[in-house]
Amino acid sequence: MTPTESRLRDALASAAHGIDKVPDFAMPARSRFSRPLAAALVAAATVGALTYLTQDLDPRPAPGTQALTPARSGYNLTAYLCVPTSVEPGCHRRAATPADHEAITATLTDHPGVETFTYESQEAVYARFRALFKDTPGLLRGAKPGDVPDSYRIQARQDALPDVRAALATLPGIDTVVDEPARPGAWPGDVP
Amino acid sequence: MTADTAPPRRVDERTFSALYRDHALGLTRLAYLMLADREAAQDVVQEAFLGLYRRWPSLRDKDKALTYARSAVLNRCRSLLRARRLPLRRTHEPPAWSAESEALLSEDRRQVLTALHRLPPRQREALVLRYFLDLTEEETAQAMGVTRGTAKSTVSRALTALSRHLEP
Repeated sequence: MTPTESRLRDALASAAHGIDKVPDFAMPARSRFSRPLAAALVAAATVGALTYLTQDLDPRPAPGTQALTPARSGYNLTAYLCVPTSVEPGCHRRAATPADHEAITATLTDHPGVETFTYESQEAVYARFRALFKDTPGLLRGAKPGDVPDSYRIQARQDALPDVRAALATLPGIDTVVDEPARPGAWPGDVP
Repeated sequence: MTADTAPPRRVDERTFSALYRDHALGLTRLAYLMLADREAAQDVVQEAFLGLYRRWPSLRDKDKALTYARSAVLNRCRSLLRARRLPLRRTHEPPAWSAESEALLSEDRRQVLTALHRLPPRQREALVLRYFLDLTEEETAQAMGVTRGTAKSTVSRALTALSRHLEP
């Protein structure tokens, strides 16, 4: 290690102690509604969701209860869409519009490097969110429908990945495009 | 209860909470070293974890969750640093440590940190990932969203520039 590297390592470690603790994970403040109304909405949503989820919670859903698990196919890119809580400046704190969706699906359909793609709706992903955090009311309360982003799962040819990513990057309504590791068959919500 | 018998959702919930417990401090320090601003660093990390939490049901590979969180923190730091470069910026904004950490930081360390903050953000990022978080070249590349070769050359250029700034 060069002297500069040692000095750098030492200075970084020392300066980092300027932060010695972090707050607990904080849910966003819900300021849009008055408190009683917000509480009533959460209660109503809970009743609705529980009825719905009792059929679908099993990680190996019986035939006919596939609502939590979209059709399985491989994918190596996920394009997360904008929701009002997105912090990406390009999202302007609003959800992707129907026109955004049209442009995205048109791009994916026309791109020669895209083999397949599927869309997972906010309803479907929110249902899984509730299932995952069911036993943790604190975490469960932190997001309402519409906070959990919908996404496109895309299978692109390996050599076309950068190109597909670039084509999506310029489209409005997309929050982030994430590379997915090659794990054939694995699907979100699966436990390794 | 072992992981084998725990219902999947419990495993998931624990993993998210554990990720925050184990990495929020390190990521806040990372943001602090990038921004030299304690409050901004904490906000950036809260936002990153909030984003991760909302995407939790969509993550196929929870092993990659830390990589996502790290990238999100760095993305937010970059946006904040870009915003600071706008015309309204004061001519010279002293990093937090020059003002308040007299007792904690020796003169030599302060010099290094000041020099680090004269580097372009991407170079600073590369150095903090390598020499503070001790990431491998591959992990540094993933966190920065660049190829391994680019990460390597950014680290090397940054070290050269840092040495130059540190020359008497």
